[in-house]
Amino acid sequence: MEWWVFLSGFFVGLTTLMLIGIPVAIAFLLVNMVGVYLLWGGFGGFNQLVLSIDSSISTFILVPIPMFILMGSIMFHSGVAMRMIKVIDQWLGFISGRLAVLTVGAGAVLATLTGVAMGSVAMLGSTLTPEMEKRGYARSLAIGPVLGSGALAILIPPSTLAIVLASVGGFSVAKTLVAIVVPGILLALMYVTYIVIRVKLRPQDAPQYEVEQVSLSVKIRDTFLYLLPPLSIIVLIIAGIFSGVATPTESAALGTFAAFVLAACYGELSPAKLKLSLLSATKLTVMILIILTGSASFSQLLSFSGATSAITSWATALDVSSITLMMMMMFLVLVIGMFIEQTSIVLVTMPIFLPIIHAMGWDPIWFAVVMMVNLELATITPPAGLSLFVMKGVAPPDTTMGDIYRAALPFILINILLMAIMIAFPQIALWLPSKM
Amino acid sequence: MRGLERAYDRLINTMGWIAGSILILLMLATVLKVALRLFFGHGLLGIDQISGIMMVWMTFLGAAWVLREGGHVAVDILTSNLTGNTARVAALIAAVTGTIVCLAVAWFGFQAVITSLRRGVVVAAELEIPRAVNLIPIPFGALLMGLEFMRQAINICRGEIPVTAGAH
Amino acid sequence: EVQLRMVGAWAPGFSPTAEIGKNFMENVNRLGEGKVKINYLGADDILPPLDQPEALVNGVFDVWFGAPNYWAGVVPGGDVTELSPARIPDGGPGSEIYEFLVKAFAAKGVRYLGHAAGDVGVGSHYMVTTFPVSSIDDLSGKPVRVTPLSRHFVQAAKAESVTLPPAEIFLALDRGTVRAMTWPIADAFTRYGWQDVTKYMIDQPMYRSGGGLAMNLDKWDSLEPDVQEILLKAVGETQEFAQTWFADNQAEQVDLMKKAGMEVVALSPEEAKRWNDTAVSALWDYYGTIYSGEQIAQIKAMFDAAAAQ
Ligand code: NA
Ligand code: NA
Repeated sequence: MEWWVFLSGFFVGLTTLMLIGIPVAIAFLLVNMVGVYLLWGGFGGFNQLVLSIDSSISTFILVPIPMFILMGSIMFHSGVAMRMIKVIDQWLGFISGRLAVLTVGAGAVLATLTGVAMGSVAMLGSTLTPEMEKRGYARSLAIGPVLGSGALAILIPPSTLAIVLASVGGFSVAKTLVAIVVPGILLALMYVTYIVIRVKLRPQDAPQYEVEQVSLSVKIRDTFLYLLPPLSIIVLIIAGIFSGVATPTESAALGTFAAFVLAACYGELSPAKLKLSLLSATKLTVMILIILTGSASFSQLLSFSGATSAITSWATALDVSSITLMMMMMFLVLVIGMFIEQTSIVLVTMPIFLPIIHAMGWDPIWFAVVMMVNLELATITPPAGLSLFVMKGVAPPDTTMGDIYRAALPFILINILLMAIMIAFPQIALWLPSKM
Repeated sequence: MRGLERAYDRLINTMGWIAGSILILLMLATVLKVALRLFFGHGLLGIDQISGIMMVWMTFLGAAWVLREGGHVAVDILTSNLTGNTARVAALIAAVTGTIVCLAVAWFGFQAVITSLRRGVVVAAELEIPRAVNLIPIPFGALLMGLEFMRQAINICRGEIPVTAGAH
Repeated sequence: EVQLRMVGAWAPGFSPTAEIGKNFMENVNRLGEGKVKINYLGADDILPPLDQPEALVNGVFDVWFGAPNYWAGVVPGGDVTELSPARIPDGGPGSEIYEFLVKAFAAKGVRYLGHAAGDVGVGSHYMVTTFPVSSIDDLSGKPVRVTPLSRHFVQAAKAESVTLPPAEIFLALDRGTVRAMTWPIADAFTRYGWQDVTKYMIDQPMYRSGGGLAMNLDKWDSLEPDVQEILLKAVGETQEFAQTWFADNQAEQVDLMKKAGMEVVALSPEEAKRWNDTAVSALWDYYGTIYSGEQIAQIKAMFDAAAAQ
């Protein structure tokens, strides 16, 4: 069978199954089973499908996902996160769209802890989204910044994906890591700018709320009691990773453990709260991991059918200018990124992109930076961006996927704008690494 | 029949608790490894590998419980706008498809465990653990998920309003 | 014309070791024109490398290349040629040790095709560190990133073995999470930028490394004898190609490492012997858990026969 038959079969099948309300994980599994039957042939193929389910999640690299979910869950259900927000409320006067801006700030901070978007989205979505909804924020403003902040997690170092991209592409890992710092900060600033402008234009999206007057001594006491201890957990995690005392997996586990200890110190670790945090974290973890079991085999089958490489070859065989070619390649990554996860995109496209990068004489670090912004974007592009599903898992119960897609849209456009800036002004991407 | 269903519910609840316990163990195992390295200058061999195995066990033992609790994500752009019989038919299609897919995975997963044991495949990492240890929860979890979907399908046929399918 | 589908652990162009697979394919397609043709499907974009051996057994594809050690889980002891003293690690098609491996793999549904490496001590596994080393004792207690192949040595050296995917190594070395690693230097060591975060290469070759080739057994059995002959001839040519290929790549890599400021450390003769003895006996001890004492003796005898050729 031709690759395009598989390609349309895969996507039409997946889209149809998802639209009739079949859980995403089951939709992936069914499409995979049909693909396996056609491409891997008979029982041996199905045996391989089971093996790939195992190998796609049986890795300690993914352990930070459940850890950060559990940490967020503990912080939320024990009331620690709420108290942090309350203390900040006490200090801050009114700033338009404050909680949305805070989400981006917190997202940037979390981004320095993890290279996995989903952990960040789970944590922010389970703490700040309900708070924003409670304060009467527009739903899209309560969700969008969380999705955007999840994307920051991949772009701001440490970023596992940056290292994967650099090693597959043969780029300098150190330079790639340094180079994504500037676009990472730039992206956070663009998010904030968007939120501030939007709230200026549509004040009803982020209603002003009364901040109760508290004395300075109470403010200082609360800061030491409720703000600094959880912040020091974050500092502990950062220090652990950067000093080399612990790997990201270890830091995540230690940070989560510290969150338990902290909640216990506050006297908030009652059996009921413990049960609630544990079961809600388990539910979310299982939901995410089971989707991951399907998306890995899906990407593999797509590659196996020749579809991914055929599209890539076709797009790059065209006779166009350098910038147009770059934009087309990025568009291609954007489209593939709508359906499959980032590591697979890197593995599928880079072997074909690399000869072009060399032939065109592009600076590989520039390419890597633009590619990273694009890959980070893939977590929030409908229909299959994983952060969208994580958001669905932690959002208030009446939130629909449509709500989440709509909330993601402005942040997708901001990412595309950043990508355009990076393509047009390579010096922004290359300035910092050139100082090395 | 009711007694059977209650026993099944207890089993699913237990699985949920086991998955939750694995999540805690996952954290404690890594904390222990770091603590040992900090205080005794030597980590614990194989914790990372065991963590990977725990990820699979947690996912598949907890999957049916998550399904019953309505925790598996579905795209509901279309189904959230359906009412009456159309909604019921869509939910039934989803539940029946889920049943077939999960029971098939359970069957192939069972075969994969047998094959892996017969071939004597081991994971050549820090600890030489049979690959089958990773694989065992897959057919077991898929079977429970299949039964849960089947129960949903039966309930929809009985005229009960589906709680989970398409809702989340 | 028979069409064979090939999958490898790494993409040619990315990994020099993957050239073993590419060279084999080119040899087959040249020698077997009109009779047999190998089509390369892809590498880790198709299937995770460590899942590929079982996928080959399952018949998902027909021909495979990768590290001989990737078979450790499916054909325990199938990578014993890592310790071979022969110029061609398995002596090439027809040699005694080669036929021994063919039999061992066949029991698991695989047709062993060959192990292609540099000459003894060329293209091998080496240790690279961030701290000065003059003796194996210096490794004691240090966190060392291991491959499935080197974990026995690292444990025997009383170092702490750490498993990390290649993409994680740079950061781990940079931050001291691991302080040393082992790698077949010829396989694009500098591609990952590791020369910037390590200081010393211990000039003591350990295991043969290089590339392994294998086929699905049912597929092999379905081939006409003349096609099988073509494949074996291609294996022989690839094994010769590997000798200069790994020598050239290693020289190039060591040059780049030195340019980046790394120091190549030569151990004193007695320390080199201790290091080598530990490396070799650690791996033999592991094979001792798989093969009987009798079989080990037989393998060693076959190695000597191949080395004498
Ligand atoms: Na990050
Ligand atoms: Na996407």
